[in-house]
Amino acid sequence: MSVADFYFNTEYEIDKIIATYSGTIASSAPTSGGGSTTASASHTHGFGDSTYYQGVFSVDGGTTWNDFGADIPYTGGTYLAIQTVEVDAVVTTTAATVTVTNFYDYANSRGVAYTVQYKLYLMAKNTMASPITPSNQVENTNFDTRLNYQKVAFSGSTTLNVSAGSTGSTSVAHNLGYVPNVRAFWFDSGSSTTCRSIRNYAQVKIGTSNVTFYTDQGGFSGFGVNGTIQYRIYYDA
Amino acid sequence: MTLDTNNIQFHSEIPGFGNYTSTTFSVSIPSQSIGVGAYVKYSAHAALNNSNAVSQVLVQYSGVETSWRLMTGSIFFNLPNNTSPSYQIESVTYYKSGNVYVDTYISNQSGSSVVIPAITVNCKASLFKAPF
Repeated sequence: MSVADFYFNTEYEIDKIIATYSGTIASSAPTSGGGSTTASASHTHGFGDSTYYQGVFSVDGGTTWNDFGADIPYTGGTYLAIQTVEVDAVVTTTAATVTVTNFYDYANSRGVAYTVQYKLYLMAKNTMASPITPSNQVENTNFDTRLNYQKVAFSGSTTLNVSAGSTGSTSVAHNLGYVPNVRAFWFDSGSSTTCRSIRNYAQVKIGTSNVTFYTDQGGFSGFGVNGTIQYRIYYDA
Repeated sequence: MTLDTNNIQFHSEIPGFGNYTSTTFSVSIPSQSIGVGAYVKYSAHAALNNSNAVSQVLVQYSGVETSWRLMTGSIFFNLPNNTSPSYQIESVTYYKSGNVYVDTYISNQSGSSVVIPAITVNCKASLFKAPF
């Protein structure tokens, strides 16, 4: 039987969710002069080390939820606007900070204020600096045998250093013979303990033998990247 | 209760990510000419209720590559390469009205019309029980 077919097996590590938070952020309307507005909220976690994370957000009062990093296009104007409001987070050794970036829609001359609801969880890294005490919010969650818990096949880190104006990549072999699920996070060389979403630094390409972290630092927005990618490759697909 | 997460595979009081459903969907983009400064948009979607869930979306651009890309936000890349691009592919994913969407935009990055190959945008969205 393939490991990928197990729902749960004590021989294989799974992710460990150690805290959850939620809140609301008021995002003011951007102007054409400013281009965008930002607003943040922080949660002190007390783990003494950074963690991985993921979250969801809503801009319509909790009716629709999207994952952090999603771009919700605006199609109500004369022109299409792909980038409207983005929500993401960073996690330091002391706190998790959620930030809302609200972009002015130059195509339709439109700036909109949002009330953003968010939910965020923190997950133990491949290696934590010290033993931790999970927050009370997750201690009442039990395992459900109806769910397929993601089993970690490989975990580790790799560096990616690419100068502005260039492209570059780094690959990790898994040789599973199929396209597995992957999670990856970014740690700047300058602030090596702060966990960030990989989305602003590299793209994740998953093949049947390798996972490739690729970055294109060309164009006017390519400033170069220098840092470490911590990843988890799962048996699950 | 203090735990050394480095030394435990799992703990009954700390949940992992439980996947409970996935869906695949796609959209076919025919080979076509795109004029200077122009773009085309194609949208793929499927019914998927992500209430009380976190998700992951993978995208494959069959016809230009075989690997799958993890949508950690928007995806964009130039073809044939960054130094001499002809066109740029950009995809965004979002949930709306009980559906998951992957919108793909292909824009002309050159000074003359370009002909793009036929591309099938294959998508896979997986939902995991949210811990909140």
